[in-house]
Amino acid sequence: MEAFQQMLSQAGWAQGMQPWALSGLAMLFAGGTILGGVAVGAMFFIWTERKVAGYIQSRYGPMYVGHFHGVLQSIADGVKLLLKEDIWPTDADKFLFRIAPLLVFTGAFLSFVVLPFGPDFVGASLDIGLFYAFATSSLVVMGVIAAGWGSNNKWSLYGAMRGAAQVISYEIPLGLAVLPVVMSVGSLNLGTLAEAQRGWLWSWHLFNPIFFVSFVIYLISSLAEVNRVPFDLPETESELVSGYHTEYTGMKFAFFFLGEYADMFVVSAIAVSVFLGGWYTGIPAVDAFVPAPLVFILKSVFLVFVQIWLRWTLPRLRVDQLMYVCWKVFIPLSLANLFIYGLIRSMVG
Amino acid sequence: MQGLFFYLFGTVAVISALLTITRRDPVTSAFWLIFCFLNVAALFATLSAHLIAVLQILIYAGAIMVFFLFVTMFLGKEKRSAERPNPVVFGVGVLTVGAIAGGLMRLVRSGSHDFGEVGPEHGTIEAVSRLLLSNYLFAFELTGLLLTVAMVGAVLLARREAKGARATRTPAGAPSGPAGVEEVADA
Repeated sequence: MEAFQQMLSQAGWAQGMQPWALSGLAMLFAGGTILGGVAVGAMFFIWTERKVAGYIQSRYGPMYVGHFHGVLQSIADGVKLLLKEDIWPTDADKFLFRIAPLLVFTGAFLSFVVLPFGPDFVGASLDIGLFYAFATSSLVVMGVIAAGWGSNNKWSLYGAMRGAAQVISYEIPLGLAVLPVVMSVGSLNLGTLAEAQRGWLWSWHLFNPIFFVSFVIYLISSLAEVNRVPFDLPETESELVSGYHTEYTGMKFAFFFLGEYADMFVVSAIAVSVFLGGWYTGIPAVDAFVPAPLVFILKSVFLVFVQIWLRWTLPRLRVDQLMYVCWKVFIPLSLANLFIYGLIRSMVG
Repeated sequence: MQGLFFYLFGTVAVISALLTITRRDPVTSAFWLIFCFLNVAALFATLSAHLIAVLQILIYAGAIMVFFLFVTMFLGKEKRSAERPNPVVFGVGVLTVGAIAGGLMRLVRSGSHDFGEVGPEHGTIEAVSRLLLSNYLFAFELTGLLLTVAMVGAVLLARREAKGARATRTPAGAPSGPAGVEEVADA
């Protein structure tokens, strides 16, 4: 945001402007940039998902719209969703049904504020950035519950209940997994966490054995957090039609879709800034001339690709297996990991 | 600017709190309560108590309210629809709220509890954690112990119930949730 404010003052727009108006304008600009980025990025991910799915299943996926491998397919789909009839189920809870897609999208969108795309490219460099990102992602659960309850449909309700149980369970290992890194850096600011990995490739947190365990736990838990296969129990097509968004049509459905892909990017970006060296390439000489946001976005996109890859490779878990993995494997493991790291630190000093 | 935000979030918080207690459907009420919590978090944020603000969202709005909603959804429809409040209970409630509000107003008016200004660094994670792990260490640890005891107690109760019910329940009626999961894991 400071960058925007500076840009505006340099462009001469700020002449005779009140400071609050200037900061308001900068906020609007920053928000608009993020919103545009999220929308376009999500469309790109949807296209990627369909192409990757195609190749993994020995078919092409979208091929015609936009001539080159169906690149414009998502835009065509977006226009289609925009023009679709907006259907309300009978006896739906009007209020909850309406706010649910907004909550899901807002929850994902708010997390973008703290993502450090580069040393100067961050919406708000909060001291508690990591915590903030986890907190905003809990808004997504509320959206899921509102959708399931408001739809007045048993499949939606089952999906929502699974979603709620899953997300509140997996938030615990997710939070515990990043704690050793936070202990080592001594900050919850995502920018500072990334900054701590400056230098050669091996200074990334990924290559520390204890942090590596954290990374694996984080990665798997984050799949559950964003309801992706193998943890997509809230929307299992084979059992629950489409889970919590069964009854949604048109743009309301599109918002769920956008929210899901935005959320995938958010968890990946957090993983990149905490474990994968943030905006650093791993070779100090290259860092000097490669733009930081590009590196950061490429790394995050790669992790999104991994999520897509896993979706089309792995079968889905059962509900009880999902809970078992969380409470009996990940939580004890991440606690032990945290304890061992604390022990090492207190002994080595 | 600060004043504007205070009145904005404060008003919305009070309105959503009122909506919480006047809605008939418990799920709608719960959502208004969540909205109220979000506004309280915003109030904390304007006081530069960022950690408390985020904890308010993460713990109250995110975990506890989601759990409330989860339980509400499990209950049958007849248990869910709220009845018209008993006039005696309603009266006692109004009196209690009035007494608390009056007491608070007197306290503020008297000025005897003026805590003075604190710096913007007062609400940072470092400051809060330092206080928790020095001045309030005993209370902090005691709270942790209390929560652990509560959790162990809950697990114990759930397990005992599950064991008692095992003989009579058909497999299709197995409850989901922690108790059911425990059982499957044991098998």
